[in-house]
Amino acid sequence: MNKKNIFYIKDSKLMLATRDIARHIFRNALKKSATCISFDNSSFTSRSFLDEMYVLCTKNNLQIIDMSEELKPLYNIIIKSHKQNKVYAPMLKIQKLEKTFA
Amino acid sequence: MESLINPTKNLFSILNQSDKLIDLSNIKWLYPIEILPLAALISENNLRYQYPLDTKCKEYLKYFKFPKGLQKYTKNSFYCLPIYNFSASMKNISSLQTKSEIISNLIDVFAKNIGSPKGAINALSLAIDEIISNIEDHSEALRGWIHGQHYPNKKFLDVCILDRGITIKGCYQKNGRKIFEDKDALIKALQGESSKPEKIRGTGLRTFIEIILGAFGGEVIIISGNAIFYSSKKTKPIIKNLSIRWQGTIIAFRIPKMTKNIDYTKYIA
Repeated sequence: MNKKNIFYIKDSKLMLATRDIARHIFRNALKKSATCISFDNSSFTSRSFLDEMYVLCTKNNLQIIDMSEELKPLYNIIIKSHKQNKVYAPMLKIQKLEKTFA
Repeated sequence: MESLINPTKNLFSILNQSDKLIDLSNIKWLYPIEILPLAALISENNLRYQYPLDTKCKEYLKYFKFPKGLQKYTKNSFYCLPIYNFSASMKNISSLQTKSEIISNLIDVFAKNIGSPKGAINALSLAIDEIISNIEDHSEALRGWIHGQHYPNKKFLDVCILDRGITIKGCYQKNGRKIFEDKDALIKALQGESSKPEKIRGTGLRTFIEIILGAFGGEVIIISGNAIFYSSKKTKPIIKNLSIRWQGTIIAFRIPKMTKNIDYTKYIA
């Protein structure tokens, strides 16, 4: 793979949080004709950011690379969720009470 | 750790007594769950307000930039995140940078005061982001509001994030769902039913709650319209009605000082 086609996410100097920031970074990667988006040196990100980035990259045939060991479990859940079209999230049991809180 | 319940009740007591004037003259102490909704209400509805007579409380409020808050990131102390009101709708680089810096500042406040055992920063950033993303993607509010404070003597961190948008019920209704009660909408959102057509969305609030309760042993309050959700490590999740409707959604959480490492993967699926 040609190295100059890698877009390094760390160069954006933005927190890897929120879908809007993911869209912005992705647009910049496209402007630079990137074929890969590198998560090199990114030790934390959010689910929304990573989910949005995964969807955009998949739709536009860009590859996500250099995912750290710390982020891999989150990334794997996102991939699994999209491939199986199934939500992976904790289950909550909630009690609905008729009493007014305040 | 003290509970968020009393300050939340106090917030509604202040709102109950307020019409066009928010009277804080007898107030001596306010937590973010009280400060931020009042700040947003005063600023977005152009309400008049009366500062507390208690000088210390008044100075604190001014220090946090009550009520208007900051719109641009300003380097601040590591003990608090002043009131920020950020753009929830603008997608330009300056707005994104501001949002990025606010989140980064909040994580610094957390790491310096609450501790940063392995995995904690990742877990916190996951939790906060779920809420800010919800404001961006679902609330239709123009502005989002955030404020956080660390209490060194009480050894906990309080954060409140809110919007004055269409509420969770409004969001479902806009997407064609026949949900008429705020309480039902909040339950659906917490049980993971996405308001968006994409089937695999709707993980946000559940992940947020699981991280705050499970990973941090904290406490969570979510208010949307006239419904309130409460849960803590000791109390099972409950939903009740409120006597006053909040136009929008308020999320508040309290987390104690951390020493244990966190495996965030245990709380995301």
